[in-house]
Amino acid sequence: MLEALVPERLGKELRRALVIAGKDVRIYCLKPPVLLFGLVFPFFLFLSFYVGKKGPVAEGIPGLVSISLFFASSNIAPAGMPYERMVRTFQRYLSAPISLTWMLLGKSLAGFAFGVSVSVFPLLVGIIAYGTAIASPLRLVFSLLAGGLCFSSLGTLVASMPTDAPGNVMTVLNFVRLPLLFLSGIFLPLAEMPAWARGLAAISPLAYANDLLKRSAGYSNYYQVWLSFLVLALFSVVFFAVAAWIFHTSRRRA
Amino acid sequence: MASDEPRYAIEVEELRKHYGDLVAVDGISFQVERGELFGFLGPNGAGKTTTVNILTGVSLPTGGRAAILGHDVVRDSFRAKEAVNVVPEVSNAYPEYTAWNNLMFTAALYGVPRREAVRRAEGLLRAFGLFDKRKVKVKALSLGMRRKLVIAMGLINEPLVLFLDEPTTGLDVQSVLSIRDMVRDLNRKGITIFLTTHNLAEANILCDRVAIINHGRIVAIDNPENLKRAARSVQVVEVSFNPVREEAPAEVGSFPEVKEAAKLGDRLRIVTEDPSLTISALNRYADERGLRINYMNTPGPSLEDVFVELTGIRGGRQAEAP
Repeated sequence: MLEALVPERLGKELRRALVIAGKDVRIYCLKPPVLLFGLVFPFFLFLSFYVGKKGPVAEGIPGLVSISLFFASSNIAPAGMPYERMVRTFQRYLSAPISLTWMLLGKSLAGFAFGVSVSVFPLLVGIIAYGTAIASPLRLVFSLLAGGLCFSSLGTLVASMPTDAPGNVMTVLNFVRLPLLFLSGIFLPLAEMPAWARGLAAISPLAYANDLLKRSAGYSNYYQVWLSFLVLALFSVVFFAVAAWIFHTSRRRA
Repeated sequence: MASDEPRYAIEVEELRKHYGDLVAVDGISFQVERGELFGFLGPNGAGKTTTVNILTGVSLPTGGRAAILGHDVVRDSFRAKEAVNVVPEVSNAYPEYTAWNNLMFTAALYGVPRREAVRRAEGLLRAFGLFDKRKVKVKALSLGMRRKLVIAMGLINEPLVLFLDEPTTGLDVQSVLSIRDMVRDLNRKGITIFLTTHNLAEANILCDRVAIINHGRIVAIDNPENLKRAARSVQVVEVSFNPVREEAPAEVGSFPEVKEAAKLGDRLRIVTEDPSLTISALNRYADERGLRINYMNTPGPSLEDVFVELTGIRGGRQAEAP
């Protein structure tokens, strides 16, 4: 057991997790479900809510960045893993010299890298075309990283569903994501929500990520910054731990 | 062999796997020597794939233990997996990747340094006649090419133990012969090979020893010739009549000492308890019907006969219990 913590072993596991992450990004970032639900869908969803809304576009950019980060980060694992079960490539990870937990970390890292990269585009468009200000670049970077980690862990959790039908997993994923999106304060600021909705918003990790991104762009935030980072970190750990537990349990039953 | 090196490539002791009330593997034990080409035979649902899944880390056992080169497959699975590679029944290369990228990814997953991986990938692709296809995506390769690629992926880390699951299933004759030659070559180079197969002829010509598993239990384990000798109750007579008589299988099958008579091309293959009695009866049978005996032989039991005898499987179906 302790051998798993020896630096040489950890180094091997980390390198192999990164190999899996790199492969996943290369293979899955251009898959139709990833493009559709990770890029096109959130963009048009945002657009449909912002068309006709008064106020500068720059104000909506943190929300668009949040949505992009949320959808893209949580998309790779649910699109990839059921497909890999279907074509039996998933079995390769199980028989390869990498532990299940590190393999899942690789899968999560793929979502994380893809989501953070994708979310940079609307941010750049906002800065260049609409003059979105970055009040705190460091906070912005850490907010993107914390949000990406949390949402990719959420994707890994949903991908732990023991099915080889990608469509089933994407359905469940959207069933989870859409309520979290509407409770996030992106379309209706948290301060303007009724008390019951604000209470529910507290369980949406997107609310904290969006709050951090708004603050990074110089807009008012609802939660304390430290609290948002803490909650995102806790969500990340819980999502990943539950996903790992489900995968380990499935392997025992396999 | 160095003194600290384990004697066995694979050791299995009282290995069990239950799925609820279903017992898939029921306390099996065996050892595979280093450098051995070991066949693992059994009908569908006998426990072959479950055993291989446990040995390769895909699944966990309910009880017992198994070790690869001395490394326990549960407690020390990382090291056990570093020494092996698997060629599963389904050719599971990444369809979106090229042949080259599949090899490089597998090499990286097994920790092969990049420069060494390039050297090995080039060598394997050339050896398997796939070098010209290295930039082609897997989904555009033929079935035989995919199979060869997956075997190449199974060799990229130069494993000490290679698990081959039905390596020739669904392939054309040329590919089958070429893959069998590859398996022999790999074994000659010292790689221990654990071959799971339905193909008894393949096991017979390739394997040093075979184990036959049925209902989750090992029912026999030995080299193919010893197994054939051990199946004393299975004696075979082959005969060819001129002219060919369509009714012969049914008529000969009704002789009291004959257990089974089946048409095999222009021959009749007869499984009997008493070959001598059967030969006399066949001579009488031919005389009475004005038939000439073109050919008669007593070839002894094949591995297939042993398999049928031990598992009760005939023509793909399990015989009813008496």
